[in-house]
Amino acid sequence: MVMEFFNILSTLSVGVLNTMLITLASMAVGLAAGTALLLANQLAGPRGKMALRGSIYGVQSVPSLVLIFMATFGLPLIGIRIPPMLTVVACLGVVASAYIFQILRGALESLEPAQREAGLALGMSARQIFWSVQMPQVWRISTPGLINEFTSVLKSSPFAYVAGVPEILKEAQVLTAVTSRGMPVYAAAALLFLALYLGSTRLFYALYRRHHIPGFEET
Amino acid sequence: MALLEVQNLALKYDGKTVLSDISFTLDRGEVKVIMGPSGGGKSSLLRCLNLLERPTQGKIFLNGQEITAPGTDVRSVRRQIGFVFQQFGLFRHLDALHNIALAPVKLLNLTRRQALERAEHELDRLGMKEHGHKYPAQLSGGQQQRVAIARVLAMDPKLILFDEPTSALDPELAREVSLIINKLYLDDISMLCVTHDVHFARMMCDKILFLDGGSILAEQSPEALYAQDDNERIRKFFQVTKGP
Repeated sequence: MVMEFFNILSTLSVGVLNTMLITLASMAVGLAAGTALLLANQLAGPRGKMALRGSIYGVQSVPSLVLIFMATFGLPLIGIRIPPMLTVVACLGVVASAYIFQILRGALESLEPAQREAGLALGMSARQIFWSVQMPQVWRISTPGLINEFTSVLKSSPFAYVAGVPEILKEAQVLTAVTSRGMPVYAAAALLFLALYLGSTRLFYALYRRHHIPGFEET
Repeated sequence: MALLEVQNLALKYDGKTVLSDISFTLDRGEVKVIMGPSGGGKSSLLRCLNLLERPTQGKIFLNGQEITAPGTDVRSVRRQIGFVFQQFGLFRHLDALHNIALAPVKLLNLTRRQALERAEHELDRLGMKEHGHKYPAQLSGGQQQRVAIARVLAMDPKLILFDEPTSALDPELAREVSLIINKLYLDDISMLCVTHDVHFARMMCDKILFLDGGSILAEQSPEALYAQDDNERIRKFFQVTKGP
């Protein structure tokens, strides 16, 4: 019985690499796009801000599964074919970027305005202030929120099975079809996600504490 | 030629007049203090002078060059005019030395090493040598304000504007910062300082601009202003500080 469970685990762990790849790549896309959106929001005029916020709320309101369905089954109909892995990463990344934008924006708005003014008064440009003064602090303040978003992306990664990417859930489905033993298989899948969740959050928090600066909240 | 010349400056917000018909000059090495009741336009005036606020009317000249003219390089003007805030505005993720060195690296094209050397020199000048590696959260208010002043000095400005630099500090720390500013006065640095501290004004300035309702009511030496009897508004303002 125990042996069998270990066999199941080792079979499923083939999908772990893809699950991590999807999660990390989606987060990378989300972080880059979320930061770009934040900078755009910072430099945009009132109308640009409105348009930006509107589209971000739009993206936030669409479930990622719907987006993946649309990209996987909709795009080929109009002649656009994208590799499944790329489709999934793009969809999860776009959704993550909207949430990450909101996390970063909250952190940016929590900075005392005097810092920005001091930068301007020294002669720095808004862009220089963004990268050298605001973002280094925004990263630190948003870390807990970003770790939270990471786990949320991790748990959205099984949607990749829709596109046919062999991640943990896809492997579990195949294994269930072969063995007709759903319970231990899915329990093993859940266990793998738990391990990934604990491992990665621990790692991130350790990094966060290592780069701690006095004056920023401890976790 | 005066270092700074302000001609008929006015500032309006949504139709509300914040400043009107402000004119004065500041010579090299001169120090003037701006006093007056809260809401009288003191901070707005300072913010206009380094273009953090765009004046609605009037002209400002720095070294004879009109900085309110269209097409002026605003950032180059700000580089020449230091601004010390009431709330310090230190960058909270950088230690004292890097707070000071950031702008010289970004704006004066100094290498990191040169900028840090300059930062060390400025900290030493303000008696803060041993605090260079502390972060803002590890410094007292007075020490933070001294770092903020050092940060401004490192840009080698032609003029320094102080916006109530001691208001956020208790009397002891305020005195610490006042002494630093007084030292700069003795070093012949041109300064304009908004303050409510009457003793501080007497100690360090040549002339006081009394600002109320967005206009300059008087420009006089501290002694003359404190003693004057002609203007009821000014007399009442200083009566409070002198006691009955």
